[in-house]
Amino acid sequence: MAKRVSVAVLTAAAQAEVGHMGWLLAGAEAMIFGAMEALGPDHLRIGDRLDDVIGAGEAQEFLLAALTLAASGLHTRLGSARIADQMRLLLMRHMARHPDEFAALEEHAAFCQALAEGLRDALAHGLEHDEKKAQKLAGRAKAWERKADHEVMRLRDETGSNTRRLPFLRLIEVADDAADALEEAAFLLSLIAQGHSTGWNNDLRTKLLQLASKVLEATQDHVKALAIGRTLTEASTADDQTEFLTVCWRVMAAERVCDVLTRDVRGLLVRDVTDAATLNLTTDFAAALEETTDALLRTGYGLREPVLLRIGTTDTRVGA
Amino acid sequence: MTGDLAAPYQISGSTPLKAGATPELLGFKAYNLARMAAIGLNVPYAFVLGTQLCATPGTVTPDLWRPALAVLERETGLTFGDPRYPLLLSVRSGAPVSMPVMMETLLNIGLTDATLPGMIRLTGHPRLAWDACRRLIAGYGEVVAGIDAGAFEADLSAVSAGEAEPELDFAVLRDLAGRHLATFAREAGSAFPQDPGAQLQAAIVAVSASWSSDKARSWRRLRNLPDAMGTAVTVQRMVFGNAGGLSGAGVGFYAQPQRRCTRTVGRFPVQRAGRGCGVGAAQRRRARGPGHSGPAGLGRTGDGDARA
Repeated sequence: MAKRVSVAVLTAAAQAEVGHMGWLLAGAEAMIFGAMEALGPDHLRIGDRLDDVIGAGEAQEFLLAALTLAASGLHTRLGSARIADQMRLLLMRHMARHPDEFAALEEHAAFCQALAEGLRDALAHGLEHDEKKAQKLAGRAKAWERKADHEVMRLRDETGSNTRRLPFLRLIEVADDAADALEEAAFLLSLIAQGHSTGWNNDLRTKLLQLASKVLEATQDHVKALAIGRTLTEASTADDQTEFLTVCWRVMAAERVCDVLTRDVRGLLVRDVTDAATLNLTTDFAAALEETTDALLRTGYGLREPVLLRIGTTDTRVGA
Repeated sequence: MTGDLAAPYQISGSTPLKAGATPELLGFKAYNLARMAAIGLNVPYAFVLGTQLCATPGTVTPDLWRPALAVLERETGLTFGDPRYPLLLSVRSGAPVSMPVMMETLLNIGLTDATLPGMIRLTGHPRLAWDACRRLIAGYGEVVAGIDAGAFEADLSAVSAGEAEPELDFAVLRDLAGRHLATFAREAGSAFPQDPGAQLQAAIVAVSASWSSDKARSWRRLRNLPDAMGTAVTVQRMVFGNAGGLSGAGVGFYAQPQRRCTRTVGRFPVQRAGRGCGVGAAQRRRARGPGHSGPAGLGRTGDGDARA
């Protein structure tokens, strides 16, 4: 622990009139090390500092609660073994409350939503005929994709040897495929807008808009899943847990819908488009949109595991 | 409703217009909303504090509007101040005669540090949430705290880098909201209120008081309208015109009196909150940027309301 955190804990304990006799009798720092070790290498490894892993504020709150628990245990003659058990549960609760690993994912998801909305709006407002606006969108998409990429790199740096954050790093790396695919779609649309939408009739335009709308819906559900997931703990209501799983499954179901829509687009292209450049670019454009939901599907699957672990179950069939 | 409007008047789906409901008591705007709801049009749920209630300072207290708010919560399935499913409200003036631009409106009341994540959870739309947040702080700052609009416009200029407002992404709007909070604290001498109930009470009082503003008084004097009419205050569930490129807010007319024809016309700029559509000076200032006519999806209200 950093010295300033230790001082803050002792000051708060003194103000709350929590003594340290119970703490010493229960095993003091050895009891905390025991609780940390009991969490296993998925959460903490030898040499990890608690305030590095869960943040100084959370560590401070945990230690104050630990001192209070030990003092109360002494008062009620709980016994050191039972105090140690409760200490493990207390640490697990504080570990689960630490939400920072969600922050990068949420920021990344917000950029994906912005990208998807830009594409949906572009199709709705006919940017395939407006080269200047389509190029502007491609430029904005590139900037958003870079910012999303920055979140990946930031989480990679923060994760370092922290194995507890590894699942979140893997998740954001998968989600980054969605950002890449969306940026690619915006780039392709800027090429299409250079006079390569010959044969884009109402049927095709409608189908592409449906595809882009579904992709946008999936990115928004991804944002919702993260917003709910970060709040879930073992104390969450069944409604919240069910809602989380419902949204995750909706993200995954979107992939199947987009698969069908992409095939429909290809069918229309074969039927109505003869210009080679239009055919090639539009096929790739639709494929890039569809690839987004592939990446979101994989992210949705992966997201359930760490969240359900926080809830206290790994049964991912719930709500399926 | 009783004839003297002793209690707030609820506007909800397909409820017949109650006996005694008149423009004089409900205000022109709320009266017409109630009529539209009565014939089955999709009008967002609301309650109205009538002209008589608002005429007497001190009459409108939280005890008066809390039961009506509870009805609104029940009807919408959302809860005011709830971090998971927050109900957000608009607070609008409404006199018995049309007084365009003369009185005030506040949007997104109920948005706080605690409820903003709930709005993102409900909508999946971070930009919408941060746009609503920065609009609330600036609008509340101007109307309730009396902060000069220029202070908030300076914040906007600092972050926008010449881009039109609809082009600003969620990260820029989040930055802007943070700047607005600092501006509010600096100019008002206290932090922006994070208690939704306090926000609502202050908003109702400020909107009601805008009846007595200098510009409103001058406008009535020029048109020989009596000061005694007073304004009603409509508290309504928020719907959003800034939820993406297929979302907008605007005005529609079923006739064009100047041209003596009955052709239906309207103007619906996309990515606009309701304050940019013909009401309030502050609203007009924030409605700059390219407009767009006739986006798909018009006719629906409640963008961004979807629950999982």
